[in-house]
Order: sequence, then structure tokens, then C-alpha cells
Amino acid sequence: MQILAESNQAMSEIAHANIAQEFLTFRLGNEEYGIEILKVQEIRGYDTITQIANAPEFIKGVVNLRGIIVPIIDMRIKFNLGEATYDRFTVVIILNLSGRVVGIVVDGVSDVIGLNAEQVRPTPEFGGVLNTEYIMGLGTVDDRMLILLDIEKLMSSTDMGLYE
Amino acid sequence: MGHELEQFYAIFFEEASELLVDMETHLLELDIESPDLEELNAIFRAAHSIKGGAGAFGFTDMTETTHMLESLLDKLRKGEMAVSSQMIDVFLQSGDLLKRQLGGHRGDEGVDTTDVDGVVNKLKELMDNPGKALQQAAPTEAELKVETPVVVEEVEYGPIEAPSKPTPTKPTYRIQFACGEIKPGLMEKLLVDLAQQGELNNLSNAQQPNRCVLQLSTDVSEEDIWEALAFIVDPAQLVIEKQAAVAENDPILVAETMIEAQVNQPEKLLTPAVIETPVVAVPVPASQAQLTLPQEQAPEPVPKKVARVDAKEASKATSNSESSSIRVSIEKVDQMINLVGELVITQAMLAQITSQVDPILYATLLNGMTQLERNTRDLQEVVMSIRMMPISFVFSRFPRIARDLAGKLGKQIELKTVGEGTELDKGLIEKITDPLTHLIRNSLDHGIELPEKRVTAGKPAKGTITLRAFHQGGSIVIEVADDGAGLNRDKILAKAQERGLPVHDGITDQEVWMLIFEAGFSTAEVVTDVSGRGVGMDVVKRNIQMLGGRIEIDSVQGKGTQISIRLPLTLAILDGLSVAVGDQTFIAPLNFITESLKPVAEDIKTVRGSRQVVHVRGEYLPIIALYEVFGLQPSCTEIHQGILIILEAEGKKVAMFVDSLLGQHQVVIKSLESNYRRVKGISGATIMGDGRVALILDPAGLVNTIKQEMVNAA
Repeated sequence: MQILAESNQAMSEIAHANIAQEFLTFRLGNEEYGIEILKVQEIRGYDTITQIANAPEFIKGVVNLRGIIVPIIDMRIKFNLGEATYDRFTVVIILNLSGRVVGIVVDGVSDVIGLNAEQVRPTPEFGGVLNTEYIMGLGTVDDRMLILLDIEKLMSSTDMGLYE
Repeated sequence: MGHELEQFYAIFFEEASELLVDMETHLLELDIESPDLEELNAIFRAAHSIKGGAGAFGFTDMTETTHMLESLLDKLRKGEMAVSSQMIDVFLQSGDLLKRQLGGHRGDEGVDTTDVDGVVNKLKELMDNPGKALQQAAPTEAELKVETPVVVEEVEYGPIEAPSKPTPTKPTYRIQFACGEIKPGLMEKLLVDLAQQGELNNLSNAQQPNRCVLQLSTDVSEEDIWEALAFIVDPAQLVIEKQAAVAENDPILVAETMIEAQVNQPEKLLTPAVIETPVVAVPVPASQAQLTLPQEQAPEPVPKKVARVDAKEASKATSNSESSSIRVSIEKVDQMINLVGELVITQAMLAQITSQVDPILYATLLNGMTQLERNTRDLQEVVMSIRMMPISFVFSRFPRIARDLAGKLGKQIELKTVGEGTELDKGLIEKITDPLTHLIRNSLDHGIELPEKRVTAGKPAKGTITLRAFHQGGSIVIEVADDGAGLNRDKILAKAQERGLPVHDGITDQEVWMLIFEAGFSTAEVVTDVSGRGVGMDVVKRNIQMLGGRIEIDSVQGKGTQISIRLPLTLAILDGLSVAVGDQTFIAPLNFITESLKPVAEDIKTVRGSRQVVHVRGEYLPIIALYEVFGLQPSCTEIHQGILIILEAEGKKVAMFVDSLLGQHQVVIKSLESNYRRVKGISGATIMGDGRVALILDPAGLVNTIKQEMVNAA
């Protein structure tokens, strides 16, 4: 029992040294974003959506996810990136944020990448559509730059208008 | 650890509440003239169990109250005291006190110590000063002494003659009681319980089936045996004797033991129980009966085998009855209901797909689908029934309310309940209690007349309120009917006109009766603390509507009033009309819809150029276009091309404009708010047969948007 616990601890230490966190990366227009894999519940296609009255444009509506009513947000509209087209290649990432389930529409999911602490750079100050408050940092993998989103903070922010 | 304990607390709270309700029911059913021993026992059992639980958790205040209650009840059921109505009142009060004490431990407002003292003092008074009670009880004792010519049944000393084993071990008790009225199941349980205590020997004589004679060799004290038996056996009929099996050797000791045993239970000697010993009983005051039994060694004449077999057979019976129910958290049940709902939807989707395949090629698949459909339907029915509870949970509290209130108002009343076994959703049970209480109070206060008035009207002095519950179609109907004065049409109409409500003399009785549900409406001449302020009936109606139900009144002047509440069987399902606006589907709750119609262009008028109204049978109703409210692209914008649905909510009527009607469904209500925010005009969502989400309209919200618009416009 104790040996097991020790080995577990050793394993997690190794993991900690090499890979700080794992991120799911997706594309919005030409930019590549990453979100913590642990927040992702599943990935599915774009299904028929029921519109919600008087909601902001980026809230597409709600869908039935195995009996749960889940709101769907189009990140392309929210961040004003890429073209908001809906076809059979459109991907919805279902997130589970502290028990709340929400889906985001993105241009495409790339892969899951492990990043260690050295690969994550602090976010430089820049104006624009995205408040840096919601960015955890910038990740570098070879030539690619990943914008690491603090998705939970973003989704619970008032300007998303998801929750009361 | 703390969490675990909390869990046990919760169980105790739940059980104690149930026991208190139980106790109250039995108290109210108790006939003062000739108290039923079963009832007294049941009350005692409830008090005893609460005491035990409270003691285990260290709720000393509750233990003290129940202890007093218990001691008093014990005297009652042993026949030492007579039951008086005053006593019942005090018992009911202590029940209330216990409820509040329980609430205090649960985290509600605690109990004022003065209240506790008040009740405890009353109990003490009854205890210490049973003057009245004893006066009634005393003659019986005297009579008994005289009339019962010490029926000496000097038989069945069998065990003593039995070949005594050389190893004397535990003391032996001889237990005698009348078992004619004990149910067979209970009897078996009793035997098992006793067999667990030690060596049991059943000496009952087949020729006397009503008399049970047992012999028990055990380490436990006589008091414990008494405890074990007292729940099942009439204490007045129970005799426990310590046996001296060494009789031949030491006759003096035997006699002593027997006297002592009897001294310990003097009351038993005085009851009509058969007195077993040749020793004539000397009545000893209860206070002196504190002698302890000498722990003698007695030989063990009990044949082991018999007891074993008995125990085995009986334990089978008990284990069956014990495992008949389990406590499960409501979340688990709800989760299961949700999952089954999903299964049903999935099944419907599959059925839709398979309906398109070649029935000859895929015969086995289609057979399987039929079976799947049947199984899912059965499964859904069973799962839904888990949340169902009999309405007796609600009804059982009303006798008390009616009793208290009738006393306060000086009225005589009998409360009849019919169909207590009718089942409905647990959530509904909790929410229906307040409206029903209000209706009963109302019936008692306004409906039932004073006894003199009733007699002059040729009715029995005692009024009757009937509570009836039954299933009709997919809903449950609860009726509160009284045989009182009935509603006065003229009075209500006059009052309505006085209040400026839009009424005229030509409206139907039904419509007149419904006026009493208007806010602030009361025809009572005197405002009492019971009712008459006109607050409440409107709340009742609103509450019922919120539960998805409807309310109806039927009344005949001089004969009585009947109020019927019609509720859906469960809160999770809603009867709705699906309507289309553009490519979206909405569900309108059926209980808010009065009618739907296809208007003609001439009936559509505008007010101030923009606001449209529709003329329906003399009324002008404002039109709400759903596509405008929700910003949708409709298939038609001209009112007369679509459909108008007349909604009635919060006392206002509006006409809702939609493209078309799709059909009527029973839909499962899903929360929109668990993952999203509240949406104005929407009360929830549901999943349609094709897996799509449809939003459920909130008529009250829609009506309010009109109100606000009007305020804004003005």
C-alpha cells in the first residue's frame, strides 16, 4: 500500500517535471488556442440547435446532450475570427466547468499537447478583442504558438452572459 | 466521520417526523370512552422509538419530553389510568413540542424553554396528580379484587416436573398471556425474539388456543423480557413469573420468589389476567414495588430442539418483512428517472429509423424493436412509480387541523377522507399541503355553519368535510367538499361589482364562483384570525397553477361547496400544446390555455395604431406575437393567417399569435437554468421525439411582458 503510494508520488513528480499540463488545441481562423484537457468532457459534431430568444449573437442556442440542455457558444463569432459556417466538419467541444456544461463551436480540433512550465510564456499586454485576463499564457511547440485560454474564467465572465 | 454522523442525523430526523405524524394520527383516532389497546400501544411505540433515537444522538430535551409522555402512556395502556380528552390535548401539545424540538435540532428556530416547561408541567400534573384518573381507575381495582375470585389455574406446572437436568444455569421465567388477538406474524417474531434471549420452551396448550404459555431460561432480567413483550402483548394480560424449578428442594424459596415476582407487577394481579399461583395476592402500592428479584439458579428444563426449529421457521418470516423497503436519496431516483427518459427518447429515435427499413428483410430487427418499445415503456412506468407516494401523507395531518379549528370556532365537524391510497409524486405531495390546508380552513370557517344554525336548517349539527382523492385520466383529482352553507351568488356578485371587477348579472355560476379566487376578495362579514381577509384563495389558485394544475368550484346554496383540484401525476411531466413559429417549436402548458382559434381579419383591431387586439366573444384581448417576443422569422405575420392561443395567467388573458399548432404532448420538463441563465418568457425546456430541444413557454412571464409594455407606453 505504502509502496504504491510512493510510486504514485514519484510518477506524479516525473510528470510534474516534464509535462505541467495537457491542453486540447483548436483553431479559430488562423490562430491556435489551447484549453486544459481536464475541462473537456467530449467533442461532437454540430447538431440542430434550438435558438434562444434575446440572447447575444454568439450564443447559438441550446442542444440536447443525452438529456441535459446545453448552451452552445460560437467562439468564432465571440472572438470575431474565422467564418461562422456550419457543416459536417464543424466541431463542438463540450466543456464541463465546475459542474456546468457548455459547448463551444470552433473551426477544428488539432491535438492534445503536453506543455511543461518552460514552454509557457507570460502573456504580453495587447489590446484587441481578447482581454488578456482570460489568457493563462502563450505556449510554444516548435514553430506553433498556442494561446492558452482560461476557459473557466472566460465562460463565467459577465460579458459572456451565460450565467446569472 | 462528521459526514457519516450527519447522515444518521438525517435518518433520525426523517424517522422521528414520521413517528410524530403516526403518533398524532393514533391520538386523534383514539376513542376516549373505550380506548383501543392497539392504538395506545402504537402511540407508546412511537414515543418510545423517538426517545430511543433522541437518546442515541444526545438530544436530551427530546428524551425528557418523550420520557414523560412514555411513562404516562405506559400507565394508560396498563389500565392504571383512564384516558381523558384533556389528556389527549396535552399529548397533542407535547407532540407539537417534540416537532419543534426536532426542528430546533435540524437547524430551524429552537423552542422557547417556557413552552417546554409548560407542556412538561402539564404532563407532570397528569402524572403526579392522577386523582381524577385514579378515581376512575380505582373502582375497577376494587371490583376486580372482589369479583375475580382468584381464578387459580393450577395447571401446567409441567416444566417443574420435567426431568430436570443436573446442570442448573440460568433463571427460568414462566410467561403467560392471551394470544388470541395477536397476529400470527407478530407471534412468530415474538417467539424468535425470545428465543434469542435464551432457551425458550413453548408450553401452550392446544386446547386453549388463546392462551400462550412460554418458559424462558435466560440471563436477561425480567424487565427486559417485559419490554420485549410489551409491544406485542396486552400488558394487562401478561404475567411473567420467575420460576423456581428447585421447588421440591426448597418450597419456601419458591413461595418467596413468586410473591416477589408478583409484587413487582401489582397491577397485573389486579387485572383480569389469570392468577397463576396459589398464593393470594396482596395488593401492594406501586411505589413500594421496587423489590429486586433474587438471582436464583434454576435448572434448565427446556428441551433445546423445539426452540431451535421454531426460531428457524420464524426468522424466515421476519426477514421477509424487514427487507420490504429501503431508503434511497431522491437525487438517485431523479437521476434514474432522467436516464430512463433518455432511453425512451433513444428508443423513439430508433423506432423512427427502423420504420423506414424493409419489413421483410429486417423482420427480426423489427421484432426486437417492438420488444424494446414494450420494455422501455414498462421500465418507465415502474421508475416513475418510485417517486409516487400515497396522498394519505397529506390527508393524515388534516384531522388535527380540523379538530383544533373546529374547537376554536365552536363548530362540530367530522372530517372524512376517501381514497387515501391514491398515489402522486412526492414533490407534489409537499407542495399541495398548504393549498389544501387553506381550503379546509376555508370550508370550516365559511362553509360549515354553527351547530344551532345547522339544526334550524334541518341538517345534522355535526358538519362534514370530505376529502377525496382519485385518478382521472392522466391526472389526480383532489376534492374538498363540505355540507355547509354553500356560496352566495348575489353576495359575491355584489362584492365583485363593488370592487369594480368586470362582471354582469348574466355570467354563469361557474364564473361567479371563480371570483372568490380573485386577490383580496372576501365576502366574510367578520374578519377572524382564521380567514376572511381575502388573502389566500388567490394564493391557492396561483400555487395550484404553478404545479400545473387547475381548480374548479361547484356549489349549491344551503347544500354545500365542492372544490376540485386537478393536478398532473408528476411535476416532471407537463401536458403541453406544441406550436410552431418559423422553424422553431415551442410548448405551451395546457393548463394555461383556455382556447385556440383561427381569427378572421375583421376581429383584429388596433389600439393607438400599433397595439393589436382581438375581439373574442365580447372581450378585447391584447395580442402577443411570439415571433416578435423571441425575435424569430415567422412563416406568416398576418394575424388571420396564423393561430391565436388564448392564455390565462395571473388573472389576465392574452392572445398569443403563432404560425400553427403541431400537436398535444406530454413532455418531460428539463431545466434550462442548470447550464444556462433564466430566459424571459421561457420556463424550461424539453426534448422532443426527434431529439431536438423545444422551449416551454412561461405564460405568466408573457402576460407580464404585455403589462410592462403598457406601463412603458403610458
